[in-house]
Amino acid sequence: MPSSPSAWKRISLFLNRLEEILLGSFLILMVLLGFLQILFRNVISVGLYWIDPLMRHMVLWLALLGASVATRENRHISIDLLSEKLGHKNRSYLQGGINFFAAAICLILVWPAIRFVQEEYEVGKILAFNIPIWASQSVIPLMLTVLGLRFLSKTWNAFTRRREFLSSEQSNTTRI
Amino acid sequence: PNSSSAEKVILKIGTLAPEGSSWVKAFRDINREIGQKTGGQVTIRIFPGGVLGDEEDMLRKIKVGQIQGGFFTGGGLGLIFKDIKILVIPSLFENYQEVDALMAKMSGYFEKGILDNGFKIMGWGESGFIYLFSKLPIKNAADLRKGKVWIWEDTAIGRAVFKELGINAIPLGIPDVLVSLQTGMIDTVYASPAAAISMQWFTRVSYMTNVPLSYSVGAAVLQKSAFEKIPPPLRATVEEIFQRHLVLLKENVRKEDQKAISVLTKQGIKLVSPSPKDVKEMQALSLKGVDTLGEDVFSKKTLAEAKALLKTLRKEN
Amino acid sequence: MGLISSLLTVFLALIGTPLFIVIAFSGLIFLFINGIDLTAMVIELYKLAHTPMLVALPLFSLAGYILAGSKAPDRLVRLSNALLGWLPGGLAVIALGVSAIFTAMTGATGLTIIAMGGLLFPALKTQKYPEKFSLGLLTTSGTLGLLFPPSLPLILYGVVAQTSIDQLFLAGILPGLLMVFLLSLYSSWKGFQAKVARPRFTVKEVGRALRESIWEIPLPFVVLGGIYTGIVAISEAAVLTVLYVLIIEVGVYRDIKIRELFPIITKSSILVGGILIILGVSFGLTNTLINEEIPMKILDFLKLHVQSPVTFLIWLNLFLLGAGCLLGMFPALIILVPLIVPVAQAYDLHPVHLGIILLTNLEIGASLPPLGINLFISSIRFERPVLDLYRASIPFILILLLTLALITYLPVISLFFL
Ligand code: NA
Ligand code: NA
Repeated sequence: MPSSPSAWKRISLFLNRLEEILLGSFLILMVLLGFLQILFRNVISVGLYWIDPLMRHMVLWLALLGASVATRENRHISIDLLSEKLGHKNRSYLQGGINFFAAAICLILVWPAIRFVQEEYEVGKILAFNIPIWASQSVIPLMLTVLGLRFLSKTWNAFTRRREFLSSEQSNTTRI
Repeated sequence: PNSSSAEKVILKIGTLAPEGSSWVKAFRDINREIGQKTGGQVTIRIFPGGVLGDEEDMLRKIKVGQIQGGFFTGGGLGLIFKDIKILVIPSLFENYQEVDALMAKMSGYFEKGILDNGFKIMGWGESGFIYLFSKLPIKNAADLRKGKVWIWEDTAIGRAVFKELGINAIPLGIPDVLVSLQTGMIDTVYASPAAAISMQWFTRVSYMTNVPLSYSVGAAVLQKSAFEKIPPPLRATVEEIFQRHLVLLKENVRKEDQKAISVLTKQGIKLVSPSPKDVKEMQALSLKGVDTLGEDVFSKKTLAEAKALLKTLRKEN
Repeated sequence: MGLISSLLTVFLALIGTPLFIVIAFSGLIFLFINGIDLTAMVIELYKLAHTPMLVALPLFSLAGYILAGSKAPDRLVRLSNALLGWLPGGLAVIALGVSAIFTAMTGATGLTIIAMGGLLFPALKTQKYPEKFSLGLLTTSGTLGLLFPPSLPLILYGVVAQTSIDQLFLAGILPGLLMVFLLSLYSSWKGFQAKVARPRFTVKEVGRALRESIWEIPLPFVVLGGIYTGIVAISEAAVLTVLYVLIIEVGVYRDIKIRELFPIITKSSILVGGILIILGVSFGLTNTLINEEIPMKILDFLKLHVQSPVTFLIWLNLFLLGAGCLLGMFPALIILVPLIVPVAQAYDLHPVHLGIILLTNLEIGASLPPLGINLFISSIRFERPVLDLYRASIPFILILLLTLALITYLPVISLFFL
């Protein structure tokens, strides 16, 4: 377990980077796979069955990884009528509350998501190339946990480091 | 004293069959009669047209208790009990007499398999036979090899058979099929005659091969635990109503099947009749293809039994 | 209980809770009240992995970001100035036309905003169109054109309603053109008002502008040609688009260097993630609405209480606008069409005409506050508060509603070619 805050910071930076790399790689892979499918069908008249399911599952991964990055960057869509009218202190409390609520919703879903994967594990279907479907589906509980933790950490920041928190909120977002 | 009464049971049932189809009408009739005969204690609610997702999704929703049952085709039934998949092997059956004779012998086995997996078959139904529709006439495997054949989903059986036939099928989603027929990306598709009409695929093809490509089995299933929520004195009534209406439904579907084929021929679709030799060849290739599959797809013993049954049947005739 | 949870949901939305959390919450509350396992929500979220049309979304998004990151917007401005610059609102009219064609080809989930928005928005900005106008234009363009063939919703309606798809293709043309035309009129007027510069038309400048964008002009033809020759399926058009755009912007024009691609890819995937997560939880909410048979109950209520065909059409329009906004295009189509068709027959509505009315409604519903999906896609794509988009889209929605009224009460617009 890392002992100093800087180690935490490094790990979190590494994870951030990992998310972005995965996101980018999936998108590039989708283009390549799609191209491969068109090529194989038109040049040697072979339909590749495994491409479609793989590409569709990548959509799921993109959704969850992208949502996590969007959380980090404060890029989620929301309708914000109130916070402009609030003072500094109240605004960070409100943000703290909202982030806590968001964390709760994500974390409430983690256990159902694990059970979902368990059920699919028992059905035992294959995605492609011996990759079981449940392995890909595991991204749901995993990323819901990550989303929950991200919202929790924002909650913590909102209550304890109000100034930094609000300025970081502002710098990253156009008050979407 | 009346703890057993008044507990109302609502059974939500999903199906891919569209609103207005004979399946959905049958369910509405079933619901009406069950309502009358149970004094409103048992209610069926039907969710048609795949509004609850595909059959795999419906099974998931049964497991979490959102719905209690479904009218499933071979795909969904095969997910509950794998051996049912043998019924959808291409070219297994030549006609409905064979289907009926085989089901008379084997349906009990399938029902038990389904029950062991937590579901109860309330009655068998079917979407009838699936046929080939094409731009060029297709009589045999050699003709098929020349076509650009569409395949819907990657199923083990489908893949094995197409491989044995030497066909490089083109996988596409349903929404792409109509336009792809138009553009020539594909020229051969398969569907029930009714589906070929409703999807309007028939407007882009010229021929229908008038021998069943495969049989599309169907059954109404309820989760066993949901069925057991029905008060014991009413269970037999509910079951009887389901059974009776589904037998009627099956007859209806077969009549509609014939009607659909005559509609298609009136629209200018020409029927292609393969020779008995062609039919035997397709049967042999198809069965050889599925022989390459492992026990994980379905039990070989079950298929062997079905094959033996059909063999004696064909000898008798 | 239902009322309290609805009020709570609205409250949560208004204080700035992320929208996907709000939608997930209302779906979860529904499940909880009805004693259904919360896993139902996860099952719906997983639909993201088996809804075929969604594959195109990240790909078109990537193509759009590459175009936006290149100098393509500048070239487009120059070309449109050369061709239609003399006309007030020339570029806006071009934007409408391009969006309509693109939507007809790709379906109806606001893909146009994702793919074309990045190109058109800076172009409109360069020409000094008011920002609010541009935002409204591009938001409502997200579904403009879905009455033109071979649009997927049109095909889907034909299948579900058992109506001839060929007739629907014909019937959609005039109503679709009417919409584009009225929006173009408004855009010309706005362009005139905003005093957008109007250069004179010269053949020489047209030639230069054409030569400059010689590689970008074939894009729509490459994609359309790919589809019509059967090389690619409609669902694969996105792949072809990305490849072509990559080759010309990175390889030919060299506007973007290879190493500049990575930030573009990341940016594009954040956009996709933000939209998909909303879509995923919306599937969950839609599922609960179906499970409670809410759309069916509303329709039954209509059937029971409305006698005159005109009143029926007014209510039908209101109902469908709401459905387009809440449920989204495809769920609305598969759930509502089979229920509405027999009802409408009782009022003597032609099924093809009904289909056009229905699709027009769903098209407008997709841009309708508070939950029309186009608004959110625009909000993410253009990084603007969703409230701004509500305001920006109002005039466009009013024009579209006017068209809807014309299409509804003058069946001849739809049935002219039949
Ligand atoms: Na679109
Ligand atoms: Na929506």
